[in-house]
Amino acid sequence: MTSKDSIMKADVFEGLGEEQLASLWEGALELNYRKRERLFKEGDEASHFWVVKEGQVDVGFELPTASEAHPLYTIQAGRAFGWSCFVPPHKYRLSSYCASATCTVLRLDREFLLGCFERDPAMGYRVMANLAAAVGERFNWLQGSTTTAPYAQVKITVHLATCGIAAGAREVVNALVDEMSGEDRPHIKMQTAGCIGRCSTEPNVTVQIEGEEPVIYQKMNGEKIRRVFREHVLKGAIQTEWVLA
Amino acid sequence: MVNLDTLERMEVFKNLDDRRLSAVSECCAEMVFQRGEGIFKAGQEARHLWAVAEGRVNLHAEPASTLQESEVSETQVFGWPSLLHPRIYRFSAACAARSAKVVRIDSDCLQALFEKDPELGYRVMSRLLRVIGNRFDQLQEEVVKRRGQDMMNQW
Repeated sequence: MTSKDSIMKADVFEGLGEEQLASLWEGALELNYRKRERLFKEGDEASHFWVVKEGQVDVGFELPTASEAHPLYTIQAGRAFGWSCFVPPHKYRLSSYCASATCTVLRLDREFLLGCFERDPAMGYRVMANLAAAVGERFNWLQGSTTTAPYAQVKITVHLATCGIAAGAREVVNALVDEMSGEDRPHIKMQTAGCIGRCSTEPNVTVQIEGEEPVIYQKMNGEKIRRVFREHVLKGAIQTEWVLA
Repeated sequence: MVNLDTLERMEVFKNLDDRRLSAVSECCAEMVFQRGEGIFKAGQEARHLWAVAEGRVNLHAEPASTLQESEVSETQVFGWPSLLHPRIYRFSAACAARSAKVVRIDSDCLQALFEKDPELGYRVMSRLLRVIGNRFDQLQEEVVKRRGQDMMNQW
């Protein structure tokens, strides 16, 4: 794909004619970045609009004590970002970093774009409508991602050392995977870990619900762990008969 | 039809000339709601953009979460999913004052005007992008605050 084609295929420029795309191309600057290199920082003056040509760009927030930004979302090739340049006070609200080994992006100057739109309002209308749709779509995604927040984070640990495997821990893992695959539950994480030094009570499973004491279950099998998952993890009812003292 | 003085106060219609305001007013109707009365519900097909002429309107997500509540004041618009695919309201809207006078704008009618007069489309959609952008920033800020706190707590 040539650089010119990449502008034509960008989602926000969909519906524009060839002449309109050619005029936009006049103001595009192609830039290359390496993994973790920053394109812009939150708080910077938003004077450019960006399109990912190749690779992926992470957009996220900075933490004072972390060396890297925490990504909120990833922008794929063909998608645009940096729409803060069209919204007062024209400051980037998040930072952006190259997320793949290398990234090639097109950078368009805000004033150049606004000049194009003033001269050709049909282009301005099409781009603003596409951009509103793209931001709206991201809004919906972000809103959807926050609806999972009211759930407490849950970590289920299956202790899977040799003794645990010998005692049937794999059956427990398989049953858990089966239960979890039934529905999208991003707040529940499953992991495996080593022996807890209680070989006689294997397979052991620890259920840790955010804000509560961890509960260790003993002598689990496929059937028991399904009940633990449905009753304890999903409904909060500890299955005391199998709890390791 | 809605009075042009009312229309030109709305954030998305600011600085439009009378000819364009008159065309837009053909797509509008004025409605009055009483406190607590629903205007639309989340999940409904979005066929109208709305603007508050008097009073206040509350927007809330379902299931309810403080993260997604907001209030719309005079001159502000809401119901912007009516202009975007797949045209489904994401929030429920209800009157939050003793009474609220709102302008209901037929989105099909408005989009037909934009196609005929792209300059009008450009002006209105630019302002609408600001509205969506500001709402997005508020939501994003809350998400960042929450996730940032979660991460700090993990350390």
